This record gives sequence, C-alpha cells and structure tokens, in this order.
Amino acid sequence: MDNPPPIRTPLSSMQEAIPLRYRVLGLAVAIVIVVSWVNNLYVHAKSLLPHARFLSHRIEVTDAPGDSFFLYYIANIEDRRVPVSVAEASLPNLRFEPVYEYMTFRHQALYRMMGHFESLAAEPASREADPRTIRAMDVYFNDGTHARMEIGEMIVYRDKPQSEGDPLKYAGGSSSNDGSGNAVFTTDKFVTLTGLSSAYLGELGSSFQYELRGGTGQSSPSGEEAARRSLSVSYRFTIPPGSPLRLTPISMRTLLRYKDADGRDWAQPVRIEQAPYPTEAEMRRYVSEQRRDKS
Amino acid sequence: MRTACSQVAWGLGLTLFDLRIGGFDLLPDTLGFILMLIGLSGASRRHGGFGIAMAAAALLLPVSVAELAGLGPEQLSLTSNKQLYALSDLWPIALLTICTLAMLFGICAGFSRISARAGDRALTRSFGAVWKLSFAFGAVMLFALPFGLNGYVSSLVVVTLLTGLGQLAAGIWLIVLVTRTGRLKAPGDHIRMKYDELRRRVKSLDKSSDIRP
Repeated sequence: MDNPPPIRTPLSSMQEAIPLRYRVLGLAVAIVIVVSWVNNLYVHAKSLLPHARFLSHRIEVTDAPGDSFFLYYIANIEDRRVPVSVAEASLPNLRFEPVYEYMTFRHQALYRMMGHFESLAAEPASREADPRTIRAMDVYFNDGTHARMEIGEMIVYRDKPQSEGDPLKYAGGSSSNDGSGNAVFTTDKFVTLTGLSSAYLGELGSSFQYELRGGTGQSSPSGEEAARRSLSVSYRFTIPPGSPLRLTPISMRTLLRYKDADGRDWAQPVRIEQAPYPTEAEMRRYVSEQRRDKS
Repeated sequence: MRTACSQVAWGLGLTLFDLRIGGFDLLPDTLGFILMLIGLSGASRRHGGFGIAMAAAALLLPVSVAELAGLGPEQLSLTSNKQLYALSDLWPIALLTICTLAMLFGICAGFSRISARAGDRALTRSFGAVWKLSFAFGAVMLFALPFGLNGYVSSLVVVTLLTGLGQLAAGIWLIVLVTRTGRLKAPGDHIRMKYDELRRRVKSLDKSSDIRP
C-alpha cells in the first residue's frame, strides 16, 4: 500500500515551489509596492490642511436689508465637518444661506455661504458706533459643535438713507470672472468726479486699478470734470499669480465721490467684488504656507 | 482526491462570481470559502501549500460573513464620484488582496505538486502559469491602490477594472485545472487497484472454500 507523502511545512513547500530567481523577483515587487504606499502616504500627509478655516476676507458691507456678501470656508475633502450657520451677536439681523461646495481640489474643498441683512422688527436699544470692524464670528457645524473662528476683516457700515437731490442715478453695471467690471451712472446736472474711496484701496495697491470716465468718453485717472449724460467707473483686479491676494475674497463698498455745481460733496456706493478662483498649484502653495505657519 | 478537488473548484467558483439581485449575492462567498476549507482540509496532508491556502481562506471567511451583513469594507466602484479615498478605505482592500493571493498561491503550489507526482508536466506548468498571472495582477492592484489617497481615482478605477478582469480569467483557468487534477490517477493508484482486486478474489476463494463439502 502506498504510504502518504511526508507532511511539508508551508515554508519548505514555498521553497520547493518557487525557484530562487522568482523569490528574488517577488521580493523586488514587494519592495516596489511598499515604496508606492510609503510615497503616497507621505504626499497625502503633506497635502492636508492642519485645520479647516475661513479664508482671510476683506469685506465692506452695510447693514441695509438686502445687502449681502460671501464667506469662503476651506477644509480637507475627508473632513465631513462643514459650517451650517454663522452668527455675530452685534449683528442681530445678519442671516446666512446654506453652505455649498464652490470649488474642489485634489485634497481640499472650498465652500461658500452668502450672508445678508434682514429688516429688524425694531431698532435695537443701543447700536454700536459706525463703522464696526468684525474679525471673528460664531460658527455652528453640522456635527453639533460650534467655535469662534476668524474670518479676516469685515467692516459694517450703518445703513444710511439716500440723500435728497443726489445728481447721479445708477444705470447699470457688469462684472467678469477675469476680475474686471464697471458701473454706469446717469446725470442731467453738472458734476465733478473727485475719486473713488474704500478702506482697502491702500492694501490692494497696484493689484486694483480703476478708471473714472465722463460722458465725453475721455478718461480721467485723477477724476477730473465729467458732467455729461453718463459717467462710469471701470475697474480691474490685477493680482499676480502666486500672490496671497489670490485667495483673499474681496467685497468692497467703494464710494464714487463727486461734487455738484454748488461744490457740495456727494458719494455713490459702487459694489466691487473679487471672488477667489485659485488653481491647484495655488491651493498647494496655500496649504504649504498653512502647514509652515502651524509648525 | 476527486471530491476534494470538486469542493475546491466549486468553492473558487462561488467566491469568483457574484450574481447580485437587489444587493444580495445569490452565489455567496461565505459558502465558497467553507467548501474550500472542507476540500483543502482533506488535501492539506499532501502539501504544505494547502495549509497556506486554508489559513488565507479562514481569514477571508469572516470578512465574507461581514459583507453579508452589510459591514464589509469599501468597494472600489466604477460609478463612484469620490475625489479620493481615505486610508481607512484602502488598507482593507489591500489586506484582502494579499490574503486572496496567499490562498491562490497555496492552491496552485499544492495542486502543482500533486500533478507533478502524478507525472502530468503540462498540468504542473499550467498551475505555475496561473499563479504567475494572478500574482502579476495582484501586484499591479497593490501598487496602484495607494494612489487613491491622492486623487488619482479615475486611473485607479481603470486599473481595478483591468486587474479584476485578469484575475477573473485566471480564476476560471484555475477552476478548470483543479477539476482536471481531480481526474488524475494518483501515484500508486494502479497498485492499489490491483491490491483491491486481489483482496476481492481472495475473499471470493475463501467463501467458495467454506461451502466445499
């Protein structure tokens, strides 16, 4: 009767089954696989934001019902915690729309939520001095937690009624994704454009350029006399690639300043905005800076 | 031997093919791993490779039970809209791939040994080829998996599809080879047959001598 073959251990079976050259090849393949995992884990770790946060905003807004602005929040894609509500005790009539995903990158997602002011049922007993500068807000998240988070800088001006007899009437405007736009006004009186002002023009410097034009079509960089049927403000953001301003949401309530024939000063608000639209490379740079700042 | 081979072949078939209706697999992997464990347990004394295959199948069995309960690991889906996969999604897939490769190695090594002892060289070479093919596809899958951490999801899905098709083809081939191995005559079978026949003749002679007056 045939005797059963001797029991072989798994190791001896492997050594019998696999010639040496295949064992060496298998080891090389295993090393390549391990290198792939180590490299990808390293790149992944280096690509993550240390903390989800709001971008550093530069916002000018009035607390007039209907006036609005956007807040941008950036987090790693794996991070399921997103804001559902934002509040500020000194702005009881501030409301926010639901947050939505604005842009996605390889490892991060940029969310956006619109804030707007509603009418108050009654004037508050006391109102803070105008304007107010807000740098942080209370944020409520979808997991039930909340935190006070920095948002950059938001200047809130008190809503003031339009003065009687304003010679300029807003006729329309446009804006483009390339950072340019204009606002057109009409008038039937003699006015002199004196300039454009905003709290952030100094900070923007040469990254923001504008042109004031009278109805004759002649451009006037310093804001000389206009006094025809229509006047316009043309502007352009010229933020260079790699500049930190590329990831700075800007929402200005600039004031177009002018004088009437009697020399009285007037101002028309002109809303100028620049939404962030970073490239993948700019986002990687931003993440690297955040990781460097954290360390 | 034939029964063991049949059990292993059926077990491989059940784990290889999924027929899902309403999310329920009519060819449950759990049953496949149980059949393989039963089939391999009989053959494990013949070659240590079957021991490796049994250990791997024993590790994969509870995972298949968890999948039945809806608690299985994340699958790499062709229709997923994920930007990237987390490490917690990928490492279970990697471990399962390694266990499956170990099981295939054990089965190929063990049956290769059996076919070699039976003198069927073509069958022995075929088992070696199936293992090499399975190893190649498995290695490509393990190499490509971590790229899902960094957003290369579409490339990963393509690689998963191609390696999955390749492993399916290798698995079907392996089932055919295991079935063929079951029909082999084991060494010494012809001697055993002669011995059994001799015993029957001796018994019949004994009986006839009993009734002789």
